[in-house]
Amino acid sequence: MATTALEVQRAGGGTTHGDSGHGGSSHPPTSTGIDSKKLLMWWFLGSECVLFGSLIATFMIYRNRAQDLSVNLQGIEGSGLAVSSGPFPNQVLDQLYTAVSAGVLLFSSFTMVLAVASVGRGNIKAFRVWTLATAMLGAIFLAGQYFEYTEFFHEGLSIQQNIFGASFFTLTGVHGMHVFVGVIWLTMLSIVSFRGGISKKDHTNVEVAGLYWHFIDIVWIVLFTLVYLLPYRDGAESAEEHTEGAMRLVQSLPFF
Amino acid sequence: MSATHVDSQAEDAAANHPGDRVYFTMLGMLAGLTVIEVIIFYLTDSLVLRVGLLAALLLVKFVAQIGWFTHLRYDDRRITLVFGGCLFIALSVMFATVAMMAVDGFFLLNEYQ
Amino acid sequence: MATFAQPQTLVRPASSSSSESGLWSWLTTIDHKRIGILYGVSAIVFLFIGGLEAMLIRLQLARPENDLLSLDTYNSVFTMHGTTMIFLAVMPASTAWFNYLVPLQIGARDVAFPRLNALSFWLLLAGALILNLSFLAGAAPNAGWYGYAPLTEVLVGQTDTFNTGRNIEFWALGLQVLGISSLAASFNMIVTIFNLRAPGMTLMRMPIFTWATLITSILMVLAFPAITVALVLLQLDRFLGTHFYIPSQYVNGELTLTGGDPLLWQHLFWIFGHPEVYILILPAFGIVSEIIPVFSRKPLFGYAVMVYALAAIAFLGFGVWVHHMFTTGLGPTPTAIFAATTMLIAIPTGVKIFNWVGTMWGGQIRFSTPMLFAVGLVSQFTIGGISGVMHSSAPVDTQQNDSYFVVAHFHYVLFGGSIFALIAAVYFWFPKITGKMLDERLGKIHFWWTFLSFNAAFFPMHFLGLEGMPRRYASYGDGSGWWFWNVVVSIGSFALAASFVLLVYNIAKTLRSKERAPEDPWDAATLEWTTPSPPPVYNYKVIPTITNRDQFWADKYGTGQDHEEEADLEVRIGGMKIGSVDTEDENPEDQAATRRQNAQSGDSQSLGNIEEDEHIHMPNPSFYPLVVAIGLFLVAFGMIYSYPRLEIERLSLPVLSLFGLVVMLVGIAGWSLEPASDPEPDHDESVPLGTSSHA
Ligand code: HEM
Ligand SMILES: [Cu+2]
Repeated sequence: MATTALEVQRAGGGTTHGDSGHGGSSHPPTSTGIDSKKLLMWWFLGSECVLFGSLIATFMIYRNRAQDLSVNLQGIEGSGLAVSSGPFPNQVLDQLYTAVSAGVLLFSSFTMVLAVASVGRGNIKAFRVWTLATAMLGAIFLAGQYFEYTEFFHEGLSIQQNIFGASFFTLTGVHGMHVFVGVIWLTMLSIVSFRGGISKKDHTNVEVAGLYWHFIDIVWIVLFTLVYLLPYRDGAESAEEHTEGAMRLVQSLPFF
Repeated sequence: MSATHVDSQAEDAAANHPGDRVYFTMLGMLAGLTVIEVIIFYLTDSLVLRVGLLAALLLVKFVAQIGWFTHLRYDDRRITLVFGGCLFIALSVMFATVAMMAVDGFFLLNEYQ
Repeated sequence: MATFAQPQTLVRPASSSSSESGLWSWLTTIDHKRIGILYGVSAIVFLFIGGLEAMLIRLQLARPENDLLSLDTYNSVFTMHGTTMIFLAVMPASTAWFNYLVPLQIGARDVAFPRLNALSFWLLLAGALILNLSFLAGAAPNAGWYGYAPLTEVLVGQTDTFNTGRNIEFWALGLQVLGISSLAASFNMIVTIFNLRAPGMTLMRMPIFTWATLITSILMVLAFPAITVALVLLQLDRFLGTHFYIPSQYVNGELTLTGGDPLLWQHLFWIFGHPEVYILILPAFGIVSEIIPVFSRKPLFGYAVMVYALAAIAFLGFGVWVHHMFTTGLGPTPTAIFAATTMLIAIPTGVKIFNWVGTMWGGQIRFSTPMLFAVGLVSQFTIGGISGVMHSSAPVDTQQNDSYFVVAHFHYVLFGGSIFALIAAVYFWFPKITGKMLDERLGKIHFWWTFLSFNAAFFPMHFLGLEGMPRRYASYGDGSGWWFWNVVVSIGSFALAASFVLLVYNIAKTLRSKERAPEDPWDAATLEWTTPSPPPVYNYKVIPTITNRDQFWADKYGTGQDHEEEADLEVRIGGMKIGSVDTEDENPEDQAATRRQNAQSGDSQSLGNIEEDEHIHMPNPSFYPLVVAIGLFLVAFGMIYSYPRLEIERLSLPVLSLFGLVVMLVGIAGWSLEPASDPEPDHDESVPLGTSSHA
């Protein structure tokens, strides 16, 4: 009976690409030749594109709105409404500080790539060093973010203060949470490796963690440009600076 | 038998991936580009120049990261298709939404002066 | 060895769990067939709850100026009706079929990640529980299934404005949990379909239902993150006093113009929402595309075009969401663009209708119950599709928006489409799942009863809508002249609800009968019919090899005849051949022998079989998915009932959520520490494809 099974499987082996696609992995071959966990991770990252896309779109829609309101609608007398007030992005964002943070995350991508390569070569010692380094760099980035947030709070920018604060903290906060998950994941991997649980055949497991980590870094590359580097309009510091009139805002609506 | 089989697989994989030198170069390049970005931020006041240059640099950095560090370049082409497809849909939908929702059309193309 | 393409290969004698049937075995099951059944049973339960809510709506509207339900209750009832039907009835029912059928149809032993699959189901239950517990709390969601801002909003420190109860928390957190469930399930299905196909099963040889599953799962993967973000922003608005969706909010105690925009919610919601309607209908299309060929005794007409049409619908589905926002004043340009894309999507949809008709054309049609419901879909969905094309014209939509015309439209596609197909699937695959045939005579009565009462319930809604009766209103005036059709609609609705009693009676009666159905009662074409009914835990003793699109037909009747027939019906567009079928015959006798062998593997009478079974390694049951789901349930529930709280400096955290987080982490830790690979992995990896280490 068993022989029949053999022959049948061999006869139909045509569709599979063999298992050359995932170096050193112990997983059984798949129809595409791509490891299942890896394929799962790539689809997950595809899904994350929409998640971060939605957050980034929200941010882009609102990034100048608080400033514009403060300029155009300042002091609508008698309406009983106050108007969005600062701090505005040009007053709080510190590009040099964040550039350093971005550099830290960039460097962590590099150490991550070395960690993956080390496992591929079976060099577990090097793997431990690079994985721990990556986790550390991630933690440093998070600490940087913590201090940045604290600084903003002191200057008066909270998540409720104006819609810039709301969209800024939400976008960077969700990214920070992703970094946090990555740090935990990498720390777990190194703990497992200290207990002897990682060997060459875990290459794919490490690679999948690496994919996640690189993606988080890529998101930060995008955020660094969109949140920190692209120019913002200034908000009104005082009532004298405004008077463009509300109509200006309405006329500039697209498609009218 | 099992050992040799796995070894040859690992070597295949190694041959498929860039060496550490390449990663080092990429790191240098990405860091360099980030420095240039910050310089652009502090140097230029011209809106068009700033947005244009930053967008170009963003694209280069994005491609470098996704192509080399996640080795999409060396991996199965179908993976690029998966990620590229998702990215395409996400980008188109979000661009359209921003275009419809941002009060000033494309968020910075007109500046109040 | 026999573990071809099975990811987690723990040793477990296959015979050990197939016979187990205690509660514990269901709580820890990771068998895709059992999970499919769990999904199916839950879907039926929630279909009844949603139906009950529909009956309340129809009782209220059965006469003018009725005060059976208070205005607030009415809001809750229609909100929960829509939410329940979409997220807890139709989606789980589709997922039930994905789970049960896909591994069988592609010749795999399970899905790619069996424990993740169990987690998806338990999270569905967790989300459903959160949504429905709201009734006990007297705070059922009340802002419609679309939850438009600012109906869902609060103002900081104000207790009497907008929506200050817990109603929206139940809704938002319930949906959030359901979203995670759907995402996990779709990742699993996508990887399963790409990676676990039996040798020889190329993408273009996959059964069309498997294609529908793949495309639907991709839609879910790309659509759900949008509503996840939308709901996160909503919760931030409600919990932390941000103002993403309201133009003004109390900031530092002063009512401030902040610039938040309710339209942002509508965009994010419908970026998810429109793909969602395809998530509801594409599985139904897949089901019908399986059933019609079998009962016409002809291969599916234009298989390739059907696949491309599925893909085209899904792709275009991401570019039409603004048609739900035609009346919000976006201006002529977006309106024109999205009207055009919406009209475009009618093309691939129409192609599918014509291909079903083409499949039946010239076939030897048998009108068994599954076929009746399938043809029912083709006719009723077409009516809903046509009123849909009417909405795609923005000026026409302006007239119909928020009227009963729209209610008629989406019930023709959701009931006349999705539900008809899902019932057809029950009649069609019931013998595979249970080994017993549903009563045909009752089935036919059921169909005609459903068909007639469905039209009585929903067709007059078109008239009501055109006469101006608004949707989501708890009452209408005596002098409106709407009472006549409303009475007809209500009577039709009760009759329609009663038709389900007939289905349940049929199922109960059949389950109790002793009569066994043959393995392949319908003379079907796909692989699942080559297995015993019900299939053994491991599905296939020997992984089949595929040489043909309609593999089982090829085995039974040879390849020549059927496929010549299909080649005759080859489809060309603009001179380009699209519907080509390439089915070289590789080794038909051998394949047929394998499948015969599989069909016998259910009865372990021969000693040889028992020995065989022990070499098939299936993953172990696990209760960690359940633990993780309970943890996530507590996290979400803690955010609704947010007292007592733990105060750490600035942070104030609900204790229940923290406890849930701990439970979840324990679950995840246990999950990852459970051995995830074969205890003797070395002997696995040295095995080249197709050799057996047991030989
Ligand atoms: C016996 C079957 C059903 C009856 C009698 C029924 C009746 C109704 C009625 C009268 C409304 C309008 C409520 C209003 O606007 O005031 C409604 C809304 C709705 N129904 Fe059904 N329905 C049935 C089945 C279904 C099914 C199977 C689905 C989905 C798969 C569904 C999805 C919806 C949705 C999404 C809404 C909109 C809710 C909202 O406005 O938030 N219904 N239904
Ligand atoms: Cu739509």
